[in-house]
Amino acid sequence: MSDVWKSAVITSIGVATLVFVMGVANPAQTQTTALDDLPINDPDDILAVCGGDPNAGEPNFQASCAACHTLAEGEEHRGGPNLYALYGRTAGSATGFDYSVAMTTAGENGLVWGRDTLRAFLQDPSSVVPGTSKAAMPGMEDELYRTDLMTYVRLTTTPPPPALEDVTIPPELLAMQGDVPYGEFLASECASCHVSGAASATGVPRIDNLAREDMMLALLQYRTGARANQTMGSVAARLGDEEIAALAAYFAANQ
Amino acid sequence: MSLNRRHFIGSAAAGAATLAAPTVWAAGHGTPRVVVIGGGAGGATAARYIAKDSAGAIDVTLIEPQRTYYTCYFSNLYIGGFRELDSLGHSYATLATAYGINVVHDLATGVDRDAKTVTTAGGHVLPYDRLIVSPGIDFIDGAVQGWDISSQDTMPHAYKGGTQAALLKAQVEAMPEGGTYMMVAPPNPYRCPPGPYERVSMVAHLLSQTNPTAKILIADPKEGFSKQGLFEEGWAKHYAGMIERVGPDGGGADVSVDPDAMTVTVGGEVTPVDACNVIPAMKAGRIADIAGLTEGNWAPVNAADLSSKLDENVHVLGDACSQGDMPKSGFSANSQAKVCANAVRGALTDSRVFPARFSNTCWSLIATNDGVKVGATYEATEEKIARVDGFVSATGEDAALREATYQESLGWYEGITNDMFS
Repeated sequence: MSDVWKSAVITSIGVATLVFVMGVANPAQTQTTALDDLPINDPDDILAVCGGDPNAGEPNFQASCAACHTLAEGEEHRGGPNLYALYGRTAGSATGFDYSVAMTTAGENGLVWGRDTLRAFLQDPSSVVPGTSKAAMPGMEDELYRTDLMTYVRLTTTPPPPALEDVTIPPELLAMQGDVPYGEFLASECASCHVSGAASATGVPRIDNLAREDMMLALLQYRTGARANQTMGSVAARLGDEEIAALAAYFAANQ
Repeated sequence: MSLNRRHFIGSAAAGAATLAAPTVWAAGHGTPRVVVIGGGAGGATAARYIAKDSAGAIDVTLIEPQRTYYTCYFSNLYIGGFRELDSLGHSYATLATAYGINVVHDLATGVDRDAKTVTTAGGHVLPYDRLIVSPGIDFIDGAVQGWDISSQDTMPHAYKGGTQAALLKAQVEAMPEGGTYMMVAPPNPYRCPPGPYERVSMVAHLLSQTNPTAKILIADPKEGFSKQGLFEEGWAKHYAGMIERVGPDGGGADVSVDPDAMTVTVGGEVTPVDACNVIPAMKAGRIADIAGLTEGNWAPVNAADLSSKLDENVHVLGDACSQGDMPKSGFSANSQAKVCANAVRGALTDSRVFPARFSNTCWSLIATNDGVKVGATYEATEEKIARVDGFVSATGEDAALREATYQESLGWYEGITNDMFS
């Protein structure tokens, strides 16, 4: 996996840096689903969403974090918890680590580790976890230092994309009605590439004849990175369950 | 120009020709009217979606001079021998017959934003409630010393679809053995960021088969360019020794041309050329300026609905607008058009309006079955269309992935042209 992301990094730095500079300033604009709420596994998607340079972030981690934290799956806890599968994890919930009351309480109050929460925590721990004894580490006041570090940590600690056959439709998504007019609007984005009504050219498959569950499954496969295609990965990365349900409902209603 | 009321209605609106006074259709009466200027990826898409989704509740007029629209995208593949020119031409017939769009083959020459009317070269005066302006690009006069639009037959820009691409291809094919092809590349921002470099790839592909000792020179005012690592890797692999690029350090920003002598001067050094593709600096299509919608070279718009920052009843799409982070591309224009159409329908008929979301992918062909892509998703912020997430092909990808990417581009071409014209 590390080779995969390292080769991707070389060509992605320019855009990824732009993402970082331009993309993060407006959380209020997030529409339905925050990107960080999505279980992104694909290394390219992680790079694109996070910005930053993981190659630069590795020494940052060694300098600021490695004394207390390990990254690989199954490694031991030290002064701080092992960070495998950190993104999306509720604060204070790593099995077998003896957390402070402050951290456990923050988790009980709903704190989940993601890009924005980690960024804030690294810069000023007590602003995110009131009462924590953790002090900010040197260097963390530097936005680029933090971003590189977080990208490295996310790439290193995120479990690899699931196998295709391991992607299933969660019951709560399956139960969603799906807003057909919203799905129609969303489907207009599909129509830039996908032709409806007939077998189309090679290279881009027909989708308008997909059954509801097949549509849901395909989008989940792209969203999780189980199915690889950069364009579809990018499009699916910002489809929350509401959007997937809407699209599936729209296509099903128009067959 | 003088407006002749006897010609006001015009052939395209013949069904209403018995009405005497144009004021009958003035804004605020009856069915709301949308006029779209420009039948490309922005305008044709917007017209089609508004007409299709409003099902007669909005009267849509599309003004486009050409009866057959030749896409600028894929013109490089035609130059490289991968497409026939005919395959890039598209008719507006279905927009008229299937969706009732009033397609007026004429040139928009004026916009009266107070009276809310558009005038055309053919003498039509078309009232609107909402105007959508999607005129693509024009070239900045004097951007390349020695070149103006009258030079385009000698040194083609080939940066609008159709005959210019055919001319450039013919000139490449006519080059003497071992001759020199020069591209004068444009400064940012311009239509289709990877386009000039895909074109170089396709010219190299053509020459490598028919004239392998020929040289390709690029005079480039930019330090770097889109997908640079991918193109340079591909050029070294497929066209070793054929392509040389001179950036600003070598005088790439200091270029003049002499179309009569067929010479190009780069950084003071005169080079005789056998074919020369001049792609000058660009600005919004002229009508955007005439309509008073531009600030500088482009028309500023609001991200949420592509409405002009200078007139809430006018929207500007595609290459002509300045919107933020999206590249100027057919894909972007098509994406913006659907957001705009949703917003315009909402404003005129109270249909549901959804939060804007945009996307773009630009595919490029470097050599046979060696396709690459770059793309991103975008959202609307108060300030601009802002990038959310992006990707680019990696160097060193295997041949099967590159071929799949090329095949995907063929599917996209069919998809977007269907989304505009079917």
